[in-house]
Parts: sequence; structure tokens; C-alpha cells
Amino acid sequence: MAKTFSQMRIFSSDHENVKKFTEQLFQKLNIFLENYWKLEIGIEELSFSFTEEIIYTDIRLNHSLPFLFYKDGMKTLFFYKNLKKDEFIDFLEIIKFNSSLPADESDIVSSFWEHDFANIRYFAPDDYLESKIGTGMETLDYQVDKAELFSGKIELLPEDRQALSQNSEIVQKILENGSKQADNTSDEIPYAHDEKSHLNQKEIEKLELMLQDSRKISPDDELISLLFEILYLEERPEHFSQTLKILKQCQLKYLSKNNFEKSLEILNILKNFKQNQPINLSYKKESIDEFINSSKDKSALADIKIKFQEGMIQNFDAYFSYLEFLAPATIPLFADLYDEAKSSQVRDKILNEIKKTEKKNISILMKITSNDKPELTKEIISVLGEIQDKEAVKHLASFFGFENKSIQAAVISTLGKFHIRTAENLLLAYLSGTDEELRTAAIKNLPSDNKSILTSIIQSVQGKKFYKKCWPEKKALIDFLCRTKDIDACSALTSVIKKAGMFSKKEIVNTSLYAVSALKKMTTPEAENILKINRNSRNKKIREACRKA
Amino acid sequence: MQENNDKRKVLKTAIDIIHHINRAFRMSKIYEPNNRIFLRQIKLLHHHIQNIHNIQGESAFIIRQNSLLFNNVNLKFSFSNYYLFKFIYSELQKKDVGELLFLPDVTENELIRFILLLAEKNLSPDNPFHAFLDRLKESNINNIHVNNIPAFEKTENKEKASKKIFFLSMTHLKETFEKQEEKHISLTTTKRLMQAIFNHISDNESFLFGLTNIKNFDEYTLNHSVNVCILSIALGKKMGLDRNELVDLGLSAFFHDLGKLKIPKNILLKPGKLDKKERDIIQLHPHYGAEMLIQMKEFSHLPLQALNVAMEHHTREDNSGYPKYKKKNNVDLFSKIVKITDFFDAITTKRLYRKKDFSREQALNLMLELSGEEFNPLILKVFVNMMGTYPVGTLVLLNTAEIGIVYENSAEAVNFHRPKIKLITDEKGNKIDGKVADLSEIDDQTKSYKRSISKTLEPNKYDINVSDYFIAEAE
Repeated sequence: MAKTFSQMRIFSSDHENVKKFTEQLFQKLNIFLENYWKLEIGIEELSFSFTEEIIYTDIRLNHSLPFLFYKDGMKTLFFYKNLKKDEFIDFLEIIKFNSSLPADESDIVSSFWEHDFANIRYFAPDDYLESKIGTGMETLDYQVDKAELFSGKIELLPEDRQALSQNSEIVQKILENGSKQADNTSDEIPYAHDEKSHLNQKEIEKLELMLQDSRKISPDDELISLLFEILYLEERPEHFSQTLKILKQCQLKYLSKNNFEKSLEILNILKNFKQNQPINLSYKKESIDEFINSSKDKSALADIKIKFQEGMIQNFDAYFSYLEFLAPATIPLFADLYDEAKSSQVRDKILNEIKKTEKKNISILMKITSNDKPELTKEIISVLGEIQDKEAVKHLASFFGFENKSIQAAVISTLGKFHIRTAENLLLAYLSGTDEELRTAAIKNLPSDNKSILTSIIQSVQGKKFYKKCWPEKKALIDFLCRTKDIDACSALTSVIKKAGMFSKKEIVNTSLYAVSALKKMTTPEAENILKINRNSRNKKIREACRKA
Repeated sequence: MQENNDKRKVLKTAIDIIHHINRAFRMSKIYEPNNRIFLRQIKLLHHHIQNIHNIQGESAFIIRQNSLLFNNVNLKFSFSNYYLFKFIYSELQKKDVGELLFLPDVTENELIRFILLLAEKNLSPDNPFHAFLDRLKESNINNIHVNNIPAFEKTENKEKASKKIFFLSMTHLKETFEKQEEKHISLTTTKRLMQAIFNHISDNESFLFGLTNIKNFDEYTLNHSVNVCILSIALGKKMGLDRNELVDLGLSAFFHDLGKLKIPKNILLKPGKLDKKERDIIQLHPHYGAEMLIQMKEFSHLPLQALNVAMEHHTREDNSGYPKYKKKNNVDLFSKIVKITDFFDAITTKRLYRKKDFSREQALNLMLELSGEEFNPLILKVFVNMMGTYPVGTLVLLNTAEIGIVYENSAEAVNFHRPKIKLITDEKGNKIDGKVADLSEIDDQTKSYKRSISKTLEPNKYDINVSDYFIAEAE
């Protein structure tokens, strides 16, 4: 046994060596028990004995198997026939577990008692407790004087004597009426049924259910509930803080098990708790703030990040809800998490969280934008679009230097939602850019009610470079003019129409035709007029288009 | 799955076997051996034994310390059949029988003779096992074997050992209280103590109930907490909690009033009625107790129920009481158990501020009136059932004019009115160190009960301290 135990101290239980030694030991033990029915091992301080002879000694206190048993008051260990292997393995595991604990925390007798082996028994008299209890103080005890107790006489009081004589009459009557005979015809023994203490079958089942229900309660959840009740009641600052510390330990325990749901629950309850506190209990609010803030400190956030990185998150919804609660401190995490995310679903969740960012935290959000993280950055851009103020436009302007085209496109699209001069000017600035797609997009997002923008566009349309632009850009410019429904815009469109002569290039004719269709869409009197005039255009296609329009 | 089903079947049959032994045993006291009702029980018993042999090839009951095994499997008993455990454990223990085997060829006639032997009294008190073994041989019972209880499983003087544990518990609680500033509980020791209490309750429940008649020894809270602990473990056992749950329950009950250490002594020990302010202060002790426990260094090793019990043991079943919860809407099962035992012990303890002293019987009646509003009705019923019609420690006057103290109650409902009585006077009123008389004993001649209870007496009217008699048994 000692050899097996030594192996168990070094190796895990499923190690080959341990299995081998355990098997050998069990076989030997079984053979003995088959022949002799019982093995009784005496336990000395550092030795085992058999039939009062020492058979094994280990003087190394911290290693000694006999001492492990001895220190907890065990005197004898018994193995009985019919010992099962899994019973024996459990026995060894208990020894291993107890030997790993500090001496004052382990109690092998207690462990054996809890396990209640069928075929392994021990003798550990209660005297052991005398050595543990009351050291340095007088043990409470009570003696009686037996001689005094059993001498003398008790005289019955009159009322009791009277009851006695009344009772005697009743007994006499019973005796006279016949002795207590059994009823041979009855199949049942008479049963004293007492309503007050007798449980019927339904009640017994209910009792059983009560026991089962009590076993289902989660101790962790129950502890949290109880801690909060204590906090509600506590009016002593020092004790309040101490209880909060225990609550913190619970929260950390949940976090260590990656249970963000429960961890968040604690924070939410605390938040509500704080809100419901009267003003004069400021110490409670301060303590709660401290609690919540500690969840957001650098090391706490680093731990949360590591969990994500190491793939420990089971419930992403709970995880992100937890981060959301701790915002804005957790906002910088999003960029890293986005990078680390292995699935699109998770990335979507991160983007979702970004969408929920409050206005006041936008500057923190901006710090995580990057040319290399277009999806994330675009999401942040869309958040800016929701805000609709100058501050947001300032932030949008900071993307000007970004090279990523899709980011720029997103900026342009977002700027188009703003009706602020600064935003409009920014869009105009994009018209000078080198990328025709971005220029086109910018044009499409320009507001149609800004005169100066209209002037710029008219200049652009009437400029020499107009026909060098790509077709989408030209269309966008013409569409812009159409949107304005302005007289000057009509004039600009007229000049485009007039560009198409009898033998003009196809490109010019098509541009002119598009201008015709734009005028048609305008449905203003000026536009109609222009179309009428151009029914006489030198170009046949233009003439026909104008007539149709 | 099949294995589990078979195991369940075997365990059920084991309980059935004990059930039929019990019935036959009781019938043997009333009916003749040729009575058809008695014979029917024997037949059923024989049938179940044969069934087991067909499944498992053996049929052996083994008493291990505080447990009963059948074919090496621990038998678990619930509230409804706990009395069967008590019966077979007690009867086998009386004869020092540690193992009872029924061989496959056992006959109905052998079973009849066995039952009659089991019911026989007057075995040699010095060597009951050998006396029983001899009687088995004399009766030609060859297919029922018995083995002796191993020496280490026997406690020499059970009463003495129980008394020792009782006072050790108080000492342990006292030293814990004195060290509470260090915020330290010697939890391994406390746990071990609870296991010892469990062992003693299994072995000697009635005597421990007797010891709970000790009141106001040293400090009230110490004595009270130990009494509550014992009663709670016993009650939980009766309800069907397993041994590890019972240790947790014991621990919880042990520390339930820890919070009283934070209540000023002048309020705690005030002889008169408390004013509102003083009551408000006393009502803080559950909350203080729970808090003290969570601030202990060993907190993470404490069962959660200990905290709940400290906090909730004054919460009533109708959710009134104190302290009032803000959100938590459930009360721990252990709290409901301790609520009952706490109230019972408190109300049966003489206190200066209380006008009326309640006897145990009166306390139970009062508690039954409060069932549903103060106490959980089911748990209370189990408690009342456990304490018996005449709780252990009740002073009684017998129809023979002898005075006695209820020493042990029968586990079976049919004998609830017929407990065992320690006689403390003879019929003339002379004090004696009398025997323990079983009121269910029937006179062979008259076929009527030898003794019956005429009425219960109030100990303080006779200046009798009931607990002294239990202490005396332990010396």
C-alpha cells in the first residue's frame, strides 16, 4: 500500500505505474480476504501492525502513511471480504487527497466517514476529539450525586394522586370486561393513528420533493442572493465593505469560470442597489463604485481579453453584455477582439457593440479606428452618422488621410446624411480627389439646396475637363443638376445639350441625351422650355429626344 | 441501466424483508405462533428471502457503525420507513449481532422459530450474543447464521460516551466563541464533532434526546446551540437527509446563534421584558451571525446552509419574522428545520423573563397550533412524530403509582403511547435507581399491559431536574 501511495504522490491516477501498483495491491488484498475474510491493520504513530506485530514503519512525518492515519485519531483499519475495486480505488484517492492538504486542513477519518465504505472500516474513538477541543481551557462537564438523586421520597400532590385513582378505576373496568385479546378475524394490527404526527402518503411524497428541491439549489446563486440581503441590512461601513469584498470574491470566481452572465448580474444588482440608496449613505455608494471600477482596471480587462484570445468564451452574448456594462473602459478592447475573432458571427457581435456606443464615448471609439481595420472603422463611421453634429463631422474629417477606399466611401456616404456646412464642404473637397469613384460618390451625396455647391458643379460641368471625366461621374454631375431644379442648373444642362452637333462623337451625344433626360425629370417650366427649344437641335437624336420629352 | 434496476429491486426487497420481520415480530407478541395472520407474515418473509437468493444468491444483513448493509450495499431509509431501520438495528444490537445471514434452504418453520427467539427477552446481559447463538442451536435453526458485532463497533458505555460528546460540543462552541475576534473556526474539528454526534444519534438517539433536557448549563447560548444541533440532526435524519447533509445541518445549527455574541449582554440577559429598542437590537443577531460566518477565514469551507440558517432561523413560514428580505424569496430547508428545533428548545428552557414554563408536551402542542404560520407543517409533523406522544424526558406517573421519566420512544406508531420509562420511584414514592420499563410489555397471565401512563407530571413542582437522571446513567 505504501508503494502504491508513493506512486500516487508522484503520478496522476491514470498513469500506468499507478494503475499497475493499484491492480497488484488489490489482487493481493483480495486473495487475503478470500482466505481470511478480514484484514485488520493496527495503526501506530509511524507504523502499521498486524496481529500486534509491526510490519511497516516510515519515520518521515510528512511522507509517512501510518502517520497520516494516526494524526487524525485512527487506531485500526479493516478491509472486508467482498471489497470492490472501485471502492478500493476511492479509498486510495482519499488518501492521496488528504496527503496533499496541509496537516491542519486534512482529516482522513472525516473523509472516510463521508464516503461510508461498505467493506473498509476503521476504528477512530471519540477520544481524539478530547485532544482537539478545549486545549488551554477547562472542559465543561457535569456530575450528579447519585446517592442524593436516588434517596428520599416523592410525595404526590393531591391533584396527581387523584388522577392516579381515577385511572385505576378505568383500568379495573377494562380488566373486568376481558383481557386484551387479539381479533383473529382482522388482517391488520391495530394502528394508532395520530393526525398531528402521522404523515399520509401525499405528505410523504411532498416531503421527499422538498428534499429533492433543496438539493437542486445552486450554492453560488444562493450565496449571491444572501450577500445582497446582508448588504441591504448592513449599516456599519466597515462591515459593508467586508461583505462587499466577499461579493467580489464571488464575482471573481464566476469570471474564473468564464461565467460572464452571473458576473454581470452581480454588477447590475449592485448598480440598482446603489441607485436605491439614500443620500446619507454615501459610503455605500463609494464602496460600490470602487467595486465596479475594480472590474474595469487594467489587469481585469487584460484577463478578459486573454479569455477571448484563448477561446474560453462559451457565451458570447453574455461576454459582450459584460463588456458593454463596463464601457467605455472596454471600448479599446474591441479593436483587439475584432482582430482575434475567429468567426464572422463574433465579429458581427463586436460591431453590434460598437453601434451601441454612447455619444460621449465617441472619442474613445475613434482611437481604435485604423486604415487596416476597414470593417471596424466603417462601423464606427456609421455610429458617427447617427450622432449628426459638428463633433461627429470633425471626427469624420480625420479619416481624410485614410487610404482605404471603402472607408472613404463610408465617410462620403455618412457625410451625405449631415446637413451641416462643414460636412458639405468636406464632400466638396472629395471632388478634387484623384479617385473617380470617390468623386462620383461625393457628388451623389452632395445636398441639392446649397447654392455655392451648385455653382461649383455648374463650373465643373461647363469646364474643359468635363468630357474627360468617366461616364459615371458625368452622370452624377448631371443628376445633381437635375436634383436642384434650379434655373442655373437648367442653363448648365442646356450647354451640355448644345454640345452635341450633327457629327459629334458618340460620347458627347450620349452625354447630351442624358442631359435631355435630366431636364425631363426636372419637370420645371424652365426645363420644359429648354426641351422645346432643342427640338430644333442640329443633332437628330437630340431633336427626337427633346420632342419625346 | 439494467444493473441499477436490479440494485433498486434488491434494495426494495431488503426493506420488504425487514418490514415482514418487523410485522411478524410484533404479531408474535400478540398472537400464537399458529395464528394465520402471523403465519402469513412468515410466508411473505420467506418469499422475499427466496427472491433475493434467486437474484443475488445471498441474503445478508450487516451492521456497520451507524449503517445497515444488505449484501454489502448501504440501505437508505426515508421518513416513511425509518422505523424499520431503528427496529432491526436495535434488535440486532441488543443481541450483539453484527451479521445476519439467511441461507437459501431456510424454511418457514425456521423463520417462525427465529422470530420468536428475536422477541425473547432475558438473554444473558454479559454475553447476549453467545446466549442468542446457543438459543439458535437449541431451536435447530441451521439456515440462519449470525456473527458477532466486531469489538470496535461496540461502544462500552454508550451513555458515558454520549455525555462526553455532549459536553465536548459545548466546550468546542465556547472556545469558538472566545476566539471569534480571530475570525477563525476550527472547522475540521467541528465537522468531526458533527460526525460523532451523528454516530451517537444513530446508536443512542433517545439518550441524546434525554441530554437535551440539560438547560442553562454554563451560558445559555452554548447549551441551547448544542441542544438545537442534536435535535436538528435527529430531525434531518428522520426526514431522509443523507449523512453528509446531516453534518452540514449540524454545523449550521451549531452556529445558528453566533450573532448573539454581538448583542450587548445586558440586553441578552435582561430578566424582564424587552422594550422596542432592545427588541430591534436583538433582532439584528441573525444578520450579524451570517456576517460573522462570511468573515471567517474558513468561510469557503463552510456549507452555505450555515449562513442561511444563521440569517433565517427566525423567519416564519408565512415569511414574516426577521430579518425581512428585500429580494430573496426562498428560505433554506435547513433554516426551517432549525427554526423548529430552536423554538422547541428555547421554549422548554426556563427563562427569567418568561412567566410560563413549557413542558416538552406543552411545547409540541403550542407549536402544532402555530403550524403553517410559524413552522413548516410537514417538517413540524415529522418533529412531533420524532419526539413522540411523550417526549424523552417527560416526567410521568404510572398506573402502578411509580414515577418515571420517559427514556425511549418506540419508533412504531402503534406504540407511541407506550414508551420505555426509567423508574425513579417505587409504588410508594421512594426514590430508586430503577430499571427501564417497557410499557409495551404485556403480562403473560392477564394479557394486558403491565404498566400504563396515568398522567404527565410537572418536574418543577417536584423539584426534579430530569436531566440529572440521564447524567446519572452516564456515570
